[in-house]
Amino acid sequence: MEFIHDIFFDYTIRNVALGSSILGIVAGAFGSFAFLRRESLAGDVVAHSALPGIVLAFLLGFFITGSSSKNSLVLILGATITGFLSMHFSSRLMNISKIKSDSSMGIMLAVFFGLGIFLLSLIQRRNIPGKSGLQDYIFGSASTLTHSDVNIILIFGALTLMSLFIFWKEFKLHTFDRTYAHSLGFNSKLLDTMMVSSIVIAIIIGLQSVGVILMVAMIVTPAAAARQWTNKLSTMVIISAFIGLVAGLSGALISASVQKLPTGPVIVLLLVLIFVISILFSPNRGLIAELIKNIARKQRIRLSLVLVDLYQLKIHHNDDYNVGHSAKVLLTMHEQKFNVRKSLIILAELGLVRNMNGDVWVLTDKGLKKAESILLTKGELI
Amino acid sequence: MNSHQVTVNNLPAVEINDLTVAYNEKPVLWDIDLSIPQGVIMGIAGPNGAGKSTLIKSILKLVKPIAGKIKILGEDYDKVRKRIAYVPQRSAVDWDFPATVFDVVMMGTYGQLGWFRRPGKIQKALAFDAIQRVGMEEYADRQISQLSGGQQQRTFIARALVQNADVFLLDEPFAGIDAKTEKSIMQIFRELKGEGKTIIAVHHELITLSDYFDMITVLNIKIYASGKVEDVYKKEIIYEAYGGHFNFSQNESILD
Amino acid sequence: MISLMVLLIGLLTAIACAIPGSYLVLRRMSMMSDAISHSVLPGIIIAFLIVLDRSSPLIIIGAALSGLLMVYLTELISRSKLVKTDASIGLVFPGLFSIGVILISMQMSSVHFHEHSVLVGDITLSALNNLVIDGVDYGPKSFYILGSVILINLLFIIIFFKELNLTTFDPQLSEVLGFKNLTLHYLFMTIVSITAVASFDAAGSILVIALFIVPAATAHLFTRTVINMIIWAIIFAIISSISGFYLSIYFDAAVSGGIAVMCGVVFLITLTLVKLKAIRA
Repeated sequence: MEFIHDIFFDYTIRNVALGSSILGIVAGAFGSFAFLRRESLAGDVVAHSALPGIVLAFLLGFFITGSSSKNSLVLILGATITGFLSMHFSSRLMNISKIKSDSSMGIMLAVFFGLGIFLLSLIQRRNIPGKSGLQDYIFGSASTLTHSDVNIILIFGALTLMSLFIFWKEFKLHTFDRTYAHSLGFNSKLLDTMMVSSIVIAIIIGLQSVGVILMVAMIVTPAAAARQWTNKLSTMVIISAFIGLVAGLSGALISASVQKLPTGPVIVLLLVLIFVISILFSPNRGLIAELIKNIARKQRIRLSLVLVDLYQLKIHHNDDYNVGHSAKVLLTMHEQKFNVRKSLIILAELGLVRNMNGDVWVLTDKGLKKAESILLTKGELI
Repeated sequence: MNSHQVTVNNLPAVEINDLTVAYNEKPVLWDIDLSIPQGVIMGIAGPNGAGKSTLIKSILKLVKPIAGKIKILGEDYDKVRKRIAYVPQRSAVDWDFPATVFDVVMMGTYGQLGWFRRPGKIQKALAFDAIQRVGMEEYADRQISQLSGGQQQRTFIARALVQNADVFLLDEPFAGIDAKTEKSIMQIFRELKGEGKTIIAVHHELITLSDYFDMITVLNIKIYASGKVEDVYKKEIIYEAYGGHFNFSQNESILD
Repeated sequence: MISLMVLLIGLLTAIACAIPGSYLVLRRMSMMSDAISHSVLPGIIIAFLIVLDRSSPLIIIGAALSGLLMVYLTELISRSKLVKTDASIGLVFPGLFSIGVILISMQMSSVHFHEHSVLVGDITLSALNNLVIDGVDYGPKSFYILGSVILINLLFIIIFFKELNLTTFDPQLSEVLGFKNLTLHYLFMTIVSITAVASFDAAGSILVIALFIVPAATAHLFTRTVINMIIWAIIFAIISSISGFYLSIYFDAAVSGGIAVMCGVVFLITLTLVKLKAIRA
């Protein structure tokens, strides 16, 4: 009870809870687009590349004002600039050289992040006041969120979500087929910039809580989990945002209530748990459902093959209705281990074949029609 | 197993029985029965999504069928692997790979060498012969990214020639190449045929079908017809296999 | 003296990583190598919790295993076709890395491991950690570990040169010619994991990815054969590690960060020269 009381009245915990919930929602919603655009790892690159921007913004603020207020707004601006730059360079690089997308992303990630670490260590070894918080951006520390940090997350989150709401139709079309969107007269360059900016902002506002290393999980995992439950974009975005919210909120609260437990990793593990449940148990696409479907599908194909074989024997021998064929003959038609007798029994249950006596089987009228339709439609199965 | 002893026996080059392949819900190949004799140039034709590449890949055991059996030269694939050469679609590889034409053609010798053994003088000589045979000797040292489509295809053909195989399986060898290459590839096919080898090629375009091949298999998930060009290259067969997806107004004349 | 040791360790790390780096770039596995370099962490920590000795070879085995686990899980997820390959990389490695970070923060604050050193490495510390047998000092242990890894990597590339080129360039043909692509793939991933963990100690995970990818990609810009690409990748790695070292000394900053930055600078210069058609190899 005390804990619930704290959520509403304890300053730190309230900030943590509010900040993490919003960033969970925003990252989840825009993560869906990054996921569908196959830019999941670009999210990783942006998050890592934000580090030098944060440190540079801090340094710049220090040199200009002489004091070091860790003004989140300035740091966010710096992060956004370098995050954008690295993404831009990475796509330019693919265009002007034979470097493929994976390597161009790897180069940008390594070099930008390396620069960030270089600058960070440079500050750490000097006597600059207020430097200690910068390190939290690497692994994330939700408990350092101040009231003004939460306000900034809230404002940016609301802005991006609003743009998603207003441009929903355009974003959807552009994600699905950008050339077609262009042909309909939508400025695809503008749309692309808008979507990428939204994704970048969704990443940047999460960095303080989740950290640059693990932010990619906030983008990818809720979307990948949500995708398993639905085939509809709007539902996917909502589920994904909800998963982000649940993991963000509970992860932040767990980490804030246990000593020395960093926030980012806890949120990530919760997300992974949700993803594993989704990929196993989702009713349509889940692995377990797929396994069952697969077995059924193979059986259907085998049943169809046996039925067609029986049909072909009948045609071949110009049979009357009464003459059947033995399962032994059917067995010779397929050398692979192929449970012909079991298939025949199932076919009989379906009323497609009839057992004459012992091992001899014959097509029923229904079976005859079915076999003909299978042959006609190139494998329209039983 | 000596490949000089030209294999003119009665065994079919490829014999397929009851082959059924399915990736997802619908079968890609359905109950295929096909026999390809030795010493022919066989074209596999069919519309998009007809399963042409899948058929080639099934013969090479690159995909796992649900049912069916395939014999090559009367044997299981694994036993005669060294007598089969495969030319994938050009788009299947990364042409920015740092290699010269010679390097790529050398890869054809790797199957005979197996694990660990390195190519030596004999292999180099074989590779150079093959490069000459496709008329690429002046490009032997060229980086593969600087080749035209036709030159890339000739490099691939040379690599297959190095294998000194009896059965050649090619996936769309004529796609996106120039007229000169087309002719030289046809020339090589005829020479190979003269040596008793079998060429099986997936071919997309209907217009050139009867010029290139002496046998044709028309495929669209199941087999619509297979046999000599004059028996198979008929309007009603092609029409049936291609269904509504084929525009006859342009091609009607060639089919009559 | 210490700084010379640091320089040498940086140099050895650079060479060790640049050797498999070329194939990582050619096989389009750059981001995979980043994921591996993060995923070795839980293996290191768990192995350490078992043996309680930081320089035990078991740690390398533990790390290699968790690197391979990452590769396997990624393939398992993308093979199910429920998630695309790029996303499945992004799904797996943060999970494994998180386990590592949580283990560190929960259990081992009193021990040498620190979250930060996992990223940045502690090259100075490894330069001080000498191999002493019977009172005789044989120099930093890292020399021997990295030296062995370089040797293993070279042997691997030499023994499997033909097979690596074939499966990388044309995996289907390789399969048709009777080579086992999957076996070679996992062998290569083992090499990458071992290299990542050996470099981890000295250099942290960012430097590992920088050294795996950037020198090899730089060489890829202009080389025409795989051998040349590997040789140039090693040369670029050496240049970057030496200049990065001095950059860091000059600014008194993290050596790993400095080397990563110099890798980028070398890449940029080479790209410009290639664009101006000034170099060819």
